Amino acid sequence: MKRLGPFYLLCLAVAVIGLAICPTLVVLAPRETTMGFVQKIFYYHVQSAWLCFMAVFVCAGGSAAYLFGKSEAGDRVAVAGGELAVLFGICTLVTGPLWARKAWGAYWQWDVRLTTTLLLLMIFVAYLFSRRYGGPGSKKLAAGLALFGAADVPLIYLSVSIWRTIHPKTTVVSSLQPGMRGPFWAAFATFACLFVVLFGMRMALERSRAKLDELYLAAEDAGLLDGDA
Amino acid sequence: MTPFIFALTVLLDVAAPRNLPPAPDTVQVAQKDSIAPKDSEGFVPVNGDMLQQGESIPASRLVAGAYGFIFAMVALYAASVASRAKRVEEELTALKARLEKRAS
Repeated sequence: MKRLGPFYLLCLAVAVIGLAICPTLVVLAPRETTMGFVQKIFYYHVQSAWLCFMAVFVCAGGSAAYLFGKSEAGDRVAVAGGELAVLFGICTLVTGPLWARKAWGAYWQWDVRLTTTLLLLMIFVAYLFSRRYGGPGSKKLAAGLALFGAADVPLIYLSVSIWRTIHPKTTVVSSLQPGMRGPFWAAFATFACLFVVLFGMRMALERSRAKLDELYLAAEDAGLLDGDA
Repeated sequence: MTPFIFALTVLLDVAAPRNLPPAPDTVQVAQKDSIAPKDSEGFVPVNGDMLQQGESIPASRLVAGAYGFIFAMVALYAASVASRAKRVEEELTALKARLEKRAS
C-alpha cells in the first residue's frame, strides 16, 4: 500500500478532530435572534453545499480532460469528484429541509434554488448510473453529462439574486456576527479536509482499479490467461 | 468526551423550553384566520400554515439530526470506498499470484 503523504495525514487529523469538536463549537456559537437554535444547521448545510459545488467542478475538470485530452487520469479524477458531488449534494438536500421545517414551516418548497440544486443532484446521479450501467462508450457520455451539470452551479449560486426566492441570500456568510464566524470557518476547515481525505481514498481506489485492468490486459496479451474460465 | 458534551447540550436544549414561554426555536403556528396578504404578483408568503395546529418540533432535534445524517453518510461512504478498495487489492494479489504460477 502506498504511504500516505504529510498533507493527506494533516487533512485526516483536522477532519477527525474537527468532526469531534465542531458540534460543541456550533452549540456554543451565539444563537441567531430570528430563527433561534435551528439556525445552527447552517454551519453544516452551507459547507455541504460548497463542497458539492467543489466536487462538481472537480468532476467537470476531469471530464473535460478526458473528453478533450483523452486523459485516463482525468477520467479517474472525474469519477471520484462525481461520487463526492452526489454525497455532499444529498447532505445539502437533507440538512436544508430540516432547517426549512422550522424557518418556512415546510420541508420543501419548489423554490428556484432548491429546484436547481435537486436538478444538479439528479444530473450527477445520472452521471454515476450511466458510468456503471451504460456499457461501452458510456464514459464519454457521462463526461458530457458532467460538463452539462457543472453549468447548473452558477445558476444555483445566482438564483437567489436573479429570481424571487425565499432561500436566504448569498450575503448571509459575509454578514455573520463575529461570534459565529469562528465556528463557521472551523466547520469549513473540517469539511474541506474531509473532502480531501475522501477524495484521496477514492482516487487510490481508482488507481488500484487501473493497475488491475493493466495487469489483466498485459496478461491477456502475453497469453497467460489462456485456458482460464 | 466531546460527543458526550454535545449530547448533553442537546438534551439540555430539548428540556429547557418546557418551563419557559414560547421559545424562539419553536415554530409558532399561524392562526387559520390570519391569512398573509398576497403581493402584487399574487404570491402568498409561506408563514407556517402547513403545520398542524399546536405542532412544534424541538429545533435541537433537527440540528442533531442534520449533523448525525452528515456523519452517517460520510462514515458509510468511507466504509464503502474502503470495502471496494479491499476487494480490488485482493483481486490484484490473486491475479499476480496466478500469473506468477503460470509463468513459472
